[in-house]
Amino acid sequence: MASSLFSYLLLSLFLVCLGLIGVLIRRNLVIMLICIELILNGVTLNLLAINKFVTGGAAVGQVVAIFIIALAAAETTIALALIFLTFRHYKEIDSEKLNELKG
Amino acid sequence: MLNDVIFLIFWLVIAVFAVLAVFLQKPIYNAFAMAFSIFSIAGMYVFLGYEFLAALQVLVYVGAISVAIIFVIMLSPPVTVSPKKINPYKILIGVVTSLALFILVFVLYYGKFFYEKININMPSQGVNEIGNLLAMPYAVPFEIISVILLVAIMGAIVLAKKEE
Repeated sequence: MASSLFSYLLLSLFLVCLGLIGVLIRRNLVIMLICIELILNGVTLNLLAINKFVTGGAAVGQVVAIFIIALAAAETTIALALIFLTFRHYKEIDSEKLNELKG
Repeated sequence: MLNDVIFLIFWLVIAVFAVLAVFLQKPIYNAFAMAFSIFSIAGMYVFLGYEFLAALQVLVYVGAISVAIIFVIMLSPPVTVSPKKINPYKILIGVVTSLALFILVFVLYYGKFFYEKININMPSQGVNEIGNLLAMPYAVPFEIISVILLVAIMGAIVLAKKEE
């Protein structure tokens, strides 16, 4: 089982779909950000499993995975700052109540 | 055999904690569940033979991103959350979209990859190769990522700064 590619792919697909459900139905901005992190991890796991299978674990795939992790860190930083700002401004982080554009 | 048992345990821990991270009700519990799930994904990388990436995953995700999320949750003043009724229409859209994606990709994978085995005993290329690639052929993307991280840090400080 540990050497079957399908189990890795199934896990990554599960993470991506779960994150998609979370982004679509949860309304708390922080939890939506957590779901986006799950999606990014699923994608990275998929990439690395396929990399192991196709090239035997070449370094190129690992470099791309490092780029994904670094970009995820940058994205989280900015998103958390924006969430914090939204909370201070509106006293609210419910995505369904943030629907007015009055500044 | 023991390998498979440990693999199955990691698989289930990742799946269960990912479900908890999405569906629990208090953000702090979600953040801890996400940290645990992502920590176990580092174990998957060890199974695949990427030790360096596993260390990086623990450092960046568990050490930085989870801590930042927990930090923001702790920093926010307590907000009284009334028990909300979730719009059933929205749940329907979410579940249908996600299930459609799952079934589509599952069918594609099932035919193509179900019988494929990977040789996980063969070592992956190590830190030396990654360093060589980052130093020469991928130097420009590496520098761009560095600048993006710097700009993200400065942007976060500027955004979250208190206005006088």
